Amino acid sequence: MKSEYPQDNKETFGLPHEVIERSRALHQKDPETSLATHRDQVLRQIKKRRNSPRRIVLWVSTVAACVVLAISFWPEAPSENDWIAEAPEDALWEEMLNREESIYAWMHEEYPSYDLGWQEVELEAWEIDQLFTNWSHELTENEIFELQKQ
Amino acid sequence: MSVKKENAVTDREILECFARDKEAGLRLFLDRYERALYAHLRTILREDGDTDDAYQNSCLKIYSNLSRFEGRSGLFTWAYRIATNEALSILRQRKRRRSYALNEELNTATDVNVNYDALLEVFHRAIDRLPPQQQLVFQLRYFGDQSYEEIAEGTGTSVGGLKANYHHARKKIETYIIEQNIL
Repeated sequence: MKSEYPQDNKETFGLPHEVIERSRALHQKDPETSLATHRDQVLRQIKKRRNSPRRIVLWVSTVAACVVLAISFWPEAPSENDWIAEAPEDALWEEMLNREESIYAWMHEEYPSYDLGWQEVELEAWEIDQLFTNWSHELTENEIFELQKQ
Repeated sequence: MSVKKENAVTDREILECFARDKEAGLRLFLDRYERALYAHLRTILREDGDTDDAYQNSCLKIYSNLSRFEGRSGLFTWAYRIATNEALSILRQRKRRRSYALNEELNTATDVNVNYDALLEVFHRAIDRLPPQQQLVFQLRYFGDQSYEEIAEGTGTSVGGLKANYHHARKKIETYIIEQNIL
């Protein structure tokens, strides 16, 4: 490495030479506290850090956070009733709506209107629920019809 | 950047020792470099308290990071950089801390009985008013007698940038001393 040592650091900025020398002495002064003492303090701090409760708490909380994250991302097999929990894509959603409409149309044809008592209304509501539940499991129209006859 | 010391342990020996036993490795490092490291910080910071704080913080950082040292530079150059960053952050804190106090003192500067102490105070005040980067370069070159190349290697900056910083620093110190009208 080319070493270019300063020639311009002899400048005194108009100050007496003694002032610059006193400043230089201050900048180059030996430590008031011995370096051995500093070393002891540094080593003591290292030991303190290593055994500090804060460090232990940090470790424990990091591990706990990792466990919680791992559990929350663990893949789960979907249960039968969870089909609706997964948000469908737009196209799929549209298809579901179309199919729902066609089922209503089919029901309208198969069940001509007649007066229903409240029990029948309740029964029909339950059947419709069953229809939608089972429709989601891809039952054919015939299978649904069979279900209606039960 | 190197620190000469006869019969001194080599950087490789320090690193090998650190890999086996961290504390023993740090002791070996300090045996070799503590004086140079302290002198470097003293040159920049001038004051006992600040230098002591910077020295101890630097030692702790060196201890924490030595296992990640990849040997792309000399061990002292790497430590010099850690210490310089530590000193710079203290210079920044000091500048914020003193900005109000310096403004207060400016008005009384011309009233002081001009003697060496007062001149020294004005000189140091002129240095302390510099932006931290300029202050750093000025102290290392003016008081530490370091070449631009050495400072550039230790701080990871360009020689051109250092020259510009040093030039600005000198001009500002000169102007400030003239403005105080004490000579």
